[in-house]
Amino acid sequence: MTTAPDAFHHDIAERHDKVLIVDFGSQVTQLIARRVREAGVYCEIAPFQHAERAFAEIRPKAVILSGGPCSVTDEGSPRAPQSVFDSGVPVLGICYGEQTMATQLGGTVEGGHHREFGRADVTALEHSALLDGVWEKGGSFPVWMSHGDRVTKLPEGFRVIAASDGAAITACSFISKSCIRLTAPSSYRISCTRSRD
Amino acid sequence: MHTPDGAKLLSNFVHKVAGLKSDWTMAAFRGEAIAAIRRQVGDGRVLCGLSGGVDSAVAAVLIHEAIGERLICVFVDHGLLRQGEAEEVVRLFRDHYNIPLHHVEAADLFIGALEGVDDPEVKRKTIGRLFIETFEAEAKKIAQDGRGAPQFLAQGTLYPDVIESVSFTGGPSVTIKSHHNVGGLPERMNMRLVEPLRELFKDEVRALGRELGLPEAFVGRHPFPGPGLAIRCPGLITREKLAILRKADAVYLDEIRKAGLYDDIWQAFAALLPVRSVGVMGDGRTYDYVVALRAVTSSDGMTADFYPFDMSFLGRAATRIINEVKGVNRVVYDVTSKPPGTIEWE
Repeated sequence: MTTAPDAFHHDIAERHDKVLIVDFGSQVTQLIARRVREAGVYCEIAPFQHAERAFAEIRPKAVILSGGPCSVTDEGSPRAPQSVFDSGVPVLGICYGEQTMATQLGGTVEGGHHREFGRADVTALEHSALLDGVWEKGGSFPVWMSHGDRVTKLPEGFRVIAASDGAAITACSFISKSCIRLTAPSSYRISCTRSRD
Repeated sequence: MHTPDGAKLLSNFVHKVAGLKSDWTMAAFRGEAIAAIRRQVGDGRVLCGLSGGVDSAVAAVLIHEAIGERLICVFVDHGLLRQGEAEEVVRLFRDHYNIPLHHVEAADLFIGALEGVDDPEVKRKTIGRLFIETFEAEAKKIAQDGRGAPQFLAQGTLYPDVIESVSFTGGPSVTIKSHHNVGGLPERMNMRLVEPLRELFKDEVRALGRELGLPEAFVGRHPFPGPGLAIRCPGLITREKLAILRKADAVYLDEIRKAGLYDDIWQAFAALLPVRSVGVMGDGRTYDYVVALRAVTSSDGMTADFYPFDMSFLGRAATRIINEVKGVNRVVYDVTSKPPGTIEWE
C-alpha cells in the first residue's frame, strides 16, 4: 500500500507542536521561520490571504504575525484572521503584525509619520517571559529603527514591557486566563515601522 | 526595527511564552522521514537523479536508508562538472554507501551539441532537453531489468520551493522551481513524486546530511548551477575552453580552501572570458585567455555582495592560475554585487 505525498507531509507535521507564521510580505519571513526551527520548533509559513485556512488545518500551538510593507491605516490593508485571536493561542506580532494586532484588538495606530532610520536604545521596563535572559529589567539595549506608523494606544489589557528612548512602546504583553498576547520587536534584521518619538 | 537579540526573543516566545518543546531536530526527522517514505512507497521502486549537489544526495541517502536496494540512482555526467566532481559522486555512492548507481557518461553528447553555441538561453535549453532525454532513456532501461518499473521519482524539493509567497498585486503566488531538469518525466512515465526534503530549509538539509554521515566537504559545498561550466564559459563553448576553465577553477578553489575562506563564501568560481589579451612570459609574447574570478557572500542567493578578498590572496591565486594553467595569461576579479549583476555570468 502506498500513500500520497500529502500524507508524507501529514506524517511528519503531525508529530510536532507547530507554530504558524502569517506572512504579511516581510523580506525576512523565511529567516524568522529558520530561527524558530533552530530553536527546535517546527513551523510553517502561510500568506495572510490563506492564513485562516492554514490556522484551522495545522492547529498551531502559537502564531507569529510577520512584518510587511503595508500600513494598517490604509483602507483594505491586510489583517490577521480573527480566529487566531479568538482561539487563545499565544500570538507574537512583529512590526506590521504587531500593528494589525493592536488595531484588531481595539488599540490605535497612527500613520503618516516621518520615516526615520537609525539606532535607538530600548529600556526593559519589567520582567517578562519574552525578554527573559535577553533584555533584563532596567537594562538598556541597542536596536535599529525604521519608522513610519506607530501604536499610540494599546488594546485593553496590554502592558508595555519595553520602551525606546522616548515614550514609544517597544514591547507589550497581555495576559488573561490562559491567553497571552505579545507584541515585540523581534527577529534579527526585521525592519519595523515603529516610532521612537 | 531589528535587533541582534531577535533569535533569542523568538526562542523565548516559542519556549517560555508558548511552552512548546524542542522536538524538531534532524536526528528525529531522520527517523520520521524514513517511516514516512516506507509508508508512501510501500514495496515500490524509486528512481532518483543525482545532480552532484547536496539536495539530491541527501534525498538519495535518506531514501536508501528507508527502502534499501529498491532505490536506483542515476547520475548523468554531462561533462560540464568541475574537476573531480563526477568521480567524487560515483565514489561516494558506490563505495561509501554501496547504493546502486547508474553512471551515464554523456559528455560527448552534451558537449557535441553545445560546441559552437554562444547564446546563454540556447545553452540552457539544449542542456535541459538533453538531460531529460538521457534520464528518460536510462529510466526505460531500468524499467526493463525484470524487477518492475519504478513507480516513484525522487526529487530534492525544499520548503522554500513550495512556500506560497505574498504578492500584493494579485493573490499569493508560488513558483515551483523545476528541479534537476527532470520536468515532464513523472507524467510521461506515469511516476509519482517522492519529496522527502519538502519540509526542510537548506541549512536543515545540510544538518540532515551530516546526520546521515555525508562527508563535511560534500555537505558544505557551494551551490552549483544545473548547466554547470557551460554558463561559466561566456561566448562559444569548445572542449579546449572547458578544459582550461576546469583547471583554473580548481586552482582558485584550492587557494580559497587553503586560506580557510571556503565556508565564509556563498559561492566562488572562475569564468573563462571570450577575450584574449597580450602578455609576456619569459622572453616570449603570449596571446591567451582572461580568467575572471568570482566570490560572493549571500544568505539565500537572492541578493549577494562580492567577497572582499585581501589583495595578497588575489595576487597569489592569479599567479598560480597563470603559472599552472596553460592558455591563461591574465586574471581579473569581479567586484559586482547582485543586484545589479547576477552571481553567474550567464
